[in-house]
Amino acid sequence: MKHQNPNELHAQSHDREHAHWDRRGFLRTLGMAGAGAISFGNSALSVVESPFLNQALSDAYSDRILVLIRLKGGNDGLNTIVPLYDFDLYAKKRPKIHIPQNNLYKLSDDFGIPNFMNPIAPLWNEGAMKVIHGVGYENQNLSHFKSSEIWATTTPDSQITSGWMGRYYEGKYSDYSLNPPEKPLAIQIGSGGDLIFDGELTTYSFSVSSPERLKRVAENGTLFDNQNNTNGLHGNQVFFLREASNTTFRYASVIHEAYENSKDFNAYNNDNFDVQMSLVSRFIKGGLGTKVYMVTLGGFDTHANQPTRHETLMKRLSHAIEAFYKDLGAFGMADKVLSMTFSEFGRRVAENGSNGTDHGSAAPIMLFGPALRGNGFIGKHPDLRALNNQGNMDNTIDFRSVYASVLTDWLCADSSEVSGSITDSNFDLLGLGLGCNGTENLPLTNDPLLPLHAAVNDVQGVSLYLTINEAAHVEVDIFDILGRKVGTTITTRLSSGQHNMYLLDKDKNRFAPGQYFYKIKVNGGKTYSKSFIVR
Amino acid sequence: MKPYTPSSSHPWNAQKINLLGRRLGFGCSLSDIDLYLKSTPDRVIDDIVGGAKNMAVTAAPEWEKWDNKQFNNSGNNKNYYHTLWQKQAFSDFLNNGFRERMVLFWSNHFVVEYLDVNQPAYLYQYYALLQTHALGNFKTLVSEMGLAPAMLRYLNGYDNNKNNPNENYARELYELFTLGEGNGYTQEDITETARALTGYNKYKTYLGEIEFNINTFDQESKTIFGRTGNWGYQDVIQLLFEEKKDLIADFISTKIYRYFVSPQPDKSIVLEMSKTLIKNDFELLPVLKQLFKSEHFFDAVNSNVMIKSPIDLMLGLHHSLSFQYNDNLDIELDFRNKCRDMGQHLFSPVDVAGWQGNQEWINSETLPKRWEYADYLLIKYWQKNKNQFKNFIQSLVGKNETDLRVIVTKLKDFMFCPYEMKEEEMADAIGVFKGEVPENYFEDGTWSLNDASVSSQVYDLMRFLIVLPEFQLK
Repeated sequence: MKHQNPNELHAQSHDREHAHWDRRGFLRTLGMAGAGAISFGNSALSVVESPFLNQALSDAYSDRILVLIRLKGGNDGLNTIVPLYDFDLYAKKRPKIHIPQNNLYKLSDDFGIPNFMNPIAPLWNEGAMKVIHGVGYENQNLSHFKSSEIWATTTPDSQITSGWMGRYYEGKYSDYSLNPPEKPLAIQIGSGGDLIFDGELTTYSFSVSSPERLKRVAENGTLFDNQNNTNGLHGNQVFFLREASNTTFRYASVIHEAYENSKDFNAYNNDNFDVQMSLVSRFIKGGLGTKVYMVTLGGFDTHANQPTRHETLMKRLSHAIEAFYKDLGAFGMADKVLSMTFSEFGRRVAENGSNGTDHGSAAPIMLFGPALRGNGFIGKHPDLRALNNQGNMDNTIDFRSVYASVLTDWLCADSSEVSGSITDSNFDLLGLGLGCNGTENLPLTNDPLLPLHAAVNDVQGVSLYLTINEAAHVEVDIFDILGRKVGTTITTRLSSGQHNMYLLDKDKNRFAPGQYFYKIKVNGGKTYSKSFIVR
Repeated sequence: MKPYTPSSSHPWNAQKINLLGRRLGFGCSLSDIDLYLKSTPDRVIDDIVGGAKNMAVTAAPEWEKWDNKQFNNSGNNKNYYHTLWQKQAFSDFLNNGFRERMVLFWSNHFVVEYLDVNQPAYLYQYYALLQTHALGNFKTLVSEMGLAPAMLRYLNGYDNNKNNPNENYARELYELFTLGEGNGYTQEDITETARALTGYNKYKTYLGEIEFNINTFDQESKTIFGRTGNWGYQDVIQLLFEEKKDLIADFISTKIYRYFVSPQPDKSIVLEMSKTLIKNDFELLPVLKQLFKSEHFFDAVNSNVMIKSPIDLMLGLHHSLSFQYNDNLDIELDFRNKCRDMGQHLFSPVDVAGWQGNQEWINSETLPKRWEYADYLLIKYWQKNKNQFKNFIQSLVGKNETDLRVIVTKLKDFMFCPYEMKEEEMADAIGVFKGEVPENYFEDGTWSLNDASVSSQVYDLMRFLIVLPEFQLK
């Protein structure tokens, strides 16, 4: 009899080749990220020097969380952030569906939000909201599907099927398949077909088609409900298989744990989108450790009856965001969470014949979170008087610049990680004022100026970020590469804390592209300098 | 055994055809179903079983009788030929259906492990033997199997000579191939049988043909099952089938039942099968037809109770969809390797007792692989031609269907055995199927199965369905 020790089978199969292929699909449909490692479950595989472990250590210093809010269907930017500065033209283009001036809440003299978005007004007033104008890309594709794909992959090239977050993770976690993290890197609700978290080899998000499903996982700690099976052999087999599936999928238990560690906040409604935000909040409060979440609010394809439909959607969005930040604020985590809306396109400037709008192009992106440390607008609103031949606005900011900026300023990605994430395209850093470079965690010193200052390019010019310990008089001079002083840009008194200011404003200063130095003189004494590039 | 006759309460329908296809073959395509629906279960089973019986053996490779030297001089190592033939077998599985289902069954009954045998020509001869007798006479199959060089090597018949008897084959002949452990034989019978089986100890050329050598055959008298004589190889088979036919019939009927009907044998059905086997002197065709045509075979209690083997899983999905894949894909090699990684390495079961199947297929290592590999196939079809998914769903449900629940249910019914999907999973499935399509498209009638998005909607839905636990059942 040649009976073999069953354990030897595993040892053998582990020695054999383990081919690479596109594993993303089942991972995505089930949200199985992490299952790959189970393939090695019974083998003695171990990786001593794991890039992931190192990464996890460095990540531990940052507890920042990004919530991507996908407004699926193409959100009408003009009825979200209404251009008061050109209101008459706006109203003329949209005689039936414009937001009347007396129904607007003014964010500034130039822009307002509809009154039905009032729940987010306090965030603006508290400096926890910014708006990036005119985000889109050149040669706007007007298909929902293709444009969503472009927003996810950052390229119109159909051959590329990985997304910007997926590539970002791929660069960071090169041994992800062998050593998947203990917790999901990202959680995605809805948008199952979206490519954003797909890398070349795997997908990096735990993805569920609905908040209900995520809630079941969170409540039960299992992927598949194993209650109330039928009797008999079929029922037994199903029980066995469900049990095996649940054991194999290990993220369910950590999600359950985080859920159990936290409590519901009573400001949410029983609304699909509220439930999504409330689940995200519970995971954050429960210490899940997932850094990126994507939630989905669908229904923005408002070709008809836009006023009612858009109002409903915007009320739901605003309410959920208000509740979310109140919730996080009460827990003391609000400043750790940045939220960002996005949509595959905006809508046509002129209304159509059905009280609605057709597919458009550029639209604003809204950022939320006290970490923004100030309200404001980034970039320029597209010119309503210079529409393209389809009647759409040209974008003033490329969406890839927004991604790059969020990666750099919020997730503190370095430039190689950013260029790995945003493929084949140029981008600018917008200077979101989120203060990366680890500023939050550095100890104070006696030095009046922390060794934390950097120049960052954005569409408007070059911004200088600096932090000082105590109020001081600050002078900033700029030198070219030969050491010639080419301008004094700043002479001011600054309070203690972080600041950012324009070193170069493209509208005011014309500098040839190239390398320059800035020199910061504090209280007429100590100087600090660094080189920077003007693009 | 009461034959199955279609009636209004038990109609001949796609579910029953699918059951037949999954159990007897390697899945059912839409065109299989269409074809069989037009016929009667009686005729369909006659066609399947009769067609398999008359099928020719796979054409022999040029190396069918090579010896060790010829392989060594061929410029390829032996694994090259082994792999070649495993791929051939997968190709046969896909093309020949039921006959190869029986070959697979027998290869897990009369187990040899090709890496132990390590002679590709022996592997081919073993394979041809299984094909020849897959639906023939069980007694003949037993008789010829013991002399197959692969078996003589694997269970040490080659080493069994009059001076140094080796009991290995004698024991497995009774324990695993015909009677069952401790069932109707004694240790004495094994010792005596081993002596009767001696003599097959001579290579014509090294690892070439194995000849009977009268000089190494034990010519003394032996007592087997109480009967004494100077028994040789054929006498052993004769004695076994004369003395133990009831036990053999019960043993092999039980095994057939467990493989084709349910892991929990119904004793009365097995008894009827045994009687048929004995009545027909161990011809396999009558008992198989009787079983497959029975009401019991189609009984809902026996549907959806077997855990798919890796080969069931992969080939079943592949054949049922019958989608195109890229020409440069060596799909037989993929099947071979992936089934191996899921624990079913063809011609290399875990041990001489074979794969035990059922829940033994599933563990935390194999289950994620099942998910991945089924998905791998879908990815390959997608890469070849996305429209296949759209065309398929249109064929399945019609072009004009717009009720998402109906579409999802029909696809579920095609890909799974009949079962009631939990409502929350149905809701999830519908959510997946909606995919990237804006919500309002479904509400205002914009969406239809002719839309460009349908391909990816179906693709994503299939990828969702194949990881549901129930997909592992047949």
